[in-house]
Amino acid sequence: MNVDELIEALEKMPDRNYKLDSNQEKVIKHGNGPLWVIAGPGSGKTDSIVLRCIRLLVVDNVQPASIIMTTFTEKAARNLKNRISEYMTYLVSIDPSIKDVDYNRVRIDTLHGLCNDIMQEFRYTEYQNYTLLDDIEQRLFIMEHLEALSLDKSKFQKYNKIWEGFPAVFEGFDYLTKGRWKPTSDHPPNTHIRAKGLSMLFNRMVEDLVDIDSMKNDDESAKILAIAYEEYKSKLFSNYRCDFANVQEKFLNFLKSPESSLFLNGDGTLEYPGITQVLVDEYQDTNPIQEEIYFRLADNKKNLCVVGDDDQALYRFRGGTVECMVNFGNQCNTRWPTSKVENVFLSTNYRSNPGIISFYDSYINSFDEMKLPGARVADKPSLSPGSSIGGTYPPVAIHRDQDPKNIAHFFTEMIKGFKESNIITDWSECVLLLQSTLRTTTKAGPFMDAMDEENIPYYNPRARGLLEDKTIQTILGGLLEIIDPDSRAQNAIRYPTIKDACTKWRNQFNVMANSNKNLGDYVKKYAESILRKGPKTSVGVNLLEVFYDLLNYPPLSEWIDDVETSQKLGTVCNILDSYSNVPTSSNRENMLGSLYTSSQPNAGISFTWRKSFYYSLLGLLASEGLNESEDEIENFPKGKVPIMTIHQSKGLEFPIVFVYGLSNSRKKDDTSAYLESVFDRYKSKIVMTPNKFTDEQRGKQDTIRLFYVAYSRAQYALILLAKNSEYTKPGIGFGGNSKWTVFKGAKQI
Amino acid sequence: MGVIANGPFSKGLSKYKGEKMKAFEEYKDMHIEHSGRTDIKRRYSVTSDILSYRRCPRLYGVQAEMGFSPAQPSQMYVGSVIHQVLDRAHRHYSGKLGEKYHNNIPSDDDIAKYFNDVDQAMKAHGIRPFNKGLSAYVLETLQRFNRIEGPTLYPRVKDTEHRLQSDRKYYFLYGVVDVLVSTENSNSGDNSVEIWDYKGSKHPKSSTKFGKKILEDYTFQMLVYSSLFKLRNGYYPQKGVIYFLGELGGKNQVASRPADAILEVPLNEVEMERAIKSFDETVDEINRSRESDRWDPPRDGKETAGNETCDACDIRASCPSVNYPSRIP
Repeated sequence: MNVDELIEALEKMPDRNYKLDSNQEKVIKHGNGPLWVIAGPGSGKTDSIVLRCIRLLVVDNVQPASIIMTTFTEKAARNLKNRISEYMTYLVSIDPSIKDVDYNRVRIDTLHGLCNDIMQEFRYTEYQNYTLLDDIEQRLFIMEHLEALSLDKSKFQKYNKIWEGFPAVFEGFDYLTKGRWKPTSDHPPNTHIRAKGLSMLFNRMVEDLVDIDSMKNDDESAKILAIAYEEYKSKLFSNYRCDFANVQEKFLNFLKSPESSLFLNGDGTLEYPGITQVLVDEYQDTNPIQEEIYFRLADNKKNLCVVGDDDQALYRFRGGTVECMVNFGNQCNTRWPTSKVENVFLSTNYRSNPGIISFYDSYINSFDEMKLPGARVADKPSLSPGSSIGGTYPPVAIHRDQDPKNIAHFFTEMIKGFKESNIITDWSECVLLLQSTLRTTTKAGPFMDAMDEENIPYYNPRARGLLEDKTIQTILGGLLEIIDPDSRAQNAIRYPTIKDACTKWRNQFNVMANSNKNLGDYVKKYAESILRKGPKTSVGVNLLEVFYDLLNYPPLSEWIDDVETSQKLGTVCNILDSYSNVPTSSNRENMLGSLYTSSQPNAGISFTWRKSFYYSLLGLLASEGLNESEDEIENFPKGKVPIMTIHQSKGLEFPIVFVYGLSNSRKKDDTSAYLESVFDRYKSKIVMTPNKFTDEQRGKQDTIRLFYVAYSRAQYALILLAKNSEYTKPGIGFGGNSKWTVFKGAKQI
Repeated sequence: MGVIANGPFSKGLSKYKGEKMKAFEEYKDMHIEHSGRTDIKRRYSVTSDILSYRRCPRLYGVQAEMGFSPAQPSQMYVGSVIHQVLDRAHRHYSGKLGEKYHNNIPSDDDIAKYFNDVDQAMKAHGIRPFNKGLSAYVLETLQRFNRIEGPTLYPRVKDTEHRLQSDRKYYFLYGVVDVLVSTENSNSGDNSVEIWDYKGSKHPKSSTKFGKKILEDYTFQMLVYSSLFKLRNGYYPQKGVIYFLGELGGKNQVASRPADAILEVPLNEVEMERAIKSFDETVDEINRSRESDRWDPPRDGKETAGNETCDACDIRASCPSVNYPSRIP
């Protein structure tokens, strides 16, 4: 099959209802060398990269195992696999000669996943038997293992320079001491803020390819941070643990080492053909270490194809550096001067009503910050409409009111109207996007109340903070009644927030135990039986088993079979499991989840263990509440109105989109921008990404991109819901310069 | 205050509630083409999804759907150690762990070394055997396997961890064949292979209801793998072989392959068709559970789920189909 025959075959594919446009064809037809695809929203971005992969497989007969394809999330990776599989199934049906193409061997995954799998497969000596730590496990590990986290002043004070030198990372409301920590405070930030701040700094140092030695030669705070990092890293590795940043660092080292030769260069067999093609989706969320990895992976053949949209970069707070996308062309020219990079703009939008397209196109162009050189890919054309959507209705409208309740009722009446008049046939054709989906009066609360009143079904799985849930409070309270029945360890805790939360949970449990005597008796007997055990022996059950024993007892057991409650309990179970799997600082073969009795007779579970359980795990729960609303949503159900954050809506499209809240100040993005500047001066020479904006400019650019993503989800109608106050003091969602420059396009309704 | 002050629309709680919306009139002309959203197809593993659900939907629901972690990862110990050590043994023979080992059967010491590596790694990950005896028992079993089967099996191994997948209409089905082995004394050339699957357990007894069911499940697994194998390789394997390593363990020395160590699964297209259909039905059942939010245990409890599954289950004490007391440590 040649490439024209392939394109012809694809266009005849049933269920595939559009012809490839000339730019999409360019992506497929591109021969060798770097390819830089800048793809606007709704321009068939993912399909183009998938079809390029198909072309490599069936036209060029590239060995499947020599193709690497990465994307940003697990869900997106599955989507890529599915699409390739669907195209290949169809193509085999019209051309059986390609039936032997084993497309399952194409290496498709997130970069983290690939790093891990490849190092295991090729048995990289520096990555034998490691376990990956997720964010929470990383923080718990830091708390358990680093002296900087000690409560003992004599141990932590030598690290004081870290919080003093990088205050933006540690500053803020100190939930545990109910005060605000500032560099001028007479006390250090609490252990949780320290752990969180250190993990942010450590991750960044790796992701930004910071040269540790140059930090050591700088001022005292940089030097001490570098030392703390080295301590952390050595503790991490001696415990066979690896965090998400380090797995990339190890992979980069693997690529530099002779051990990667079989993987990179192959041995001529089908099993090990070497790497000849690298395709990267969502490149706008790449960070410097990943950029370095991609360039090294593709170094043999220079076949590096990156696809993304700089205007839709949302993940600076996870280390994403949009400049990698913006400057890809320069990077290629510098690293591979003899290869010519081809750039393709996919600028026909097949998703939205033309009125919506020109609205968000002019939105992003209305800001001076986005016109600065380097803020966007140079010479980016405006989007042009490619769908047949039209009509005389207002594609973009805005509704304003000061009272969120009124706004919420306006919203419900509108969607009811759409449904009753059969404009929509399913509730899930409307979506409500907001900054946070929590059920509070300033966030999703009024909307959920209004939909409850009208019996409109909605889907908002993260409406409540986990710990506001009574069932969760009850089970945690019960756990405490078993582990620390006399509250002796709880009383010894210095942070009032932890104590208050634990007291509340215990009370919640006792409410249930009072009305269910058997449960109360069971927990008492359970605790007494632990007290009777000899000193310094195993309790016989681990932390998770205690949790399960409690959960299995009626009436708590009813929760297991209630799906909604059970999912929340599953989250708690996983957090306990994360804690349980942290190796103890005294013996790496002992995990924090193993329970031992105190050295004193009849004193129950080790007092030291109990205290550290309060400080680290319960402190983490009490201070953060554990809401990860940026997590991807797997599949939202039909028949319900989805309520989601703008981050969660990324990559999705909806016929009617409501956006509530047009001003935003995201602290997270500001801190991330700050970190980028901080580490810029220590970056090792291989990082060439220029960093020329102020923290404030970068923070604002990120917020603009956030609204751009929200607005570009809409296919037929975009309806903005704003408070009057956001309008009089215009929020970023209203556009740059003057609010009217943009809102002349939106109808007031 | 804002509610009342907003004037003529205000009515009770909120000014828009129950109002016929003027704003809505603007959209009368909007026609949405309901193309229908297609969800990303789910992927189901033959063993960790289909077979697990068939054993106990309740446990599967709690772990796979609600995301609970097991309290005792040691359940995974035997299976993981066996697969990982034998994988190293195969790589040893094929020279992938170093040319000097090429075509050499690993010695008892080599197996002990590989075992220690794997065992150490598992410990570092919080996965331990139930007791020290189990660890020694598993090592002994692996050494026996290596001695008895190594000389005839290793030279025949064509591939290990052979991944298979099929794009079903609503889902993807995938599985991993432990070892691909060329058929002994075959005349049909390169395309004559057997698919082997290692199980850590003893050969299930067909005299019990559970044993019969589990044998049927394993047979189905091999039939489905064969069918997926054809998709990937274009021809069928000659047969499926399930090796029960549990038959090699125990105090008595075993010097040759015990009769019960192997279950040969003859493959034919009619049976493969039946097995795939049966797996499709299980996927339908999983979907029904998901839609109705009901993950009920098998009514006959252990007869379907088996003692091993129930004894190790974290939610056994609240299971309506079996009788386990609440634990006091």
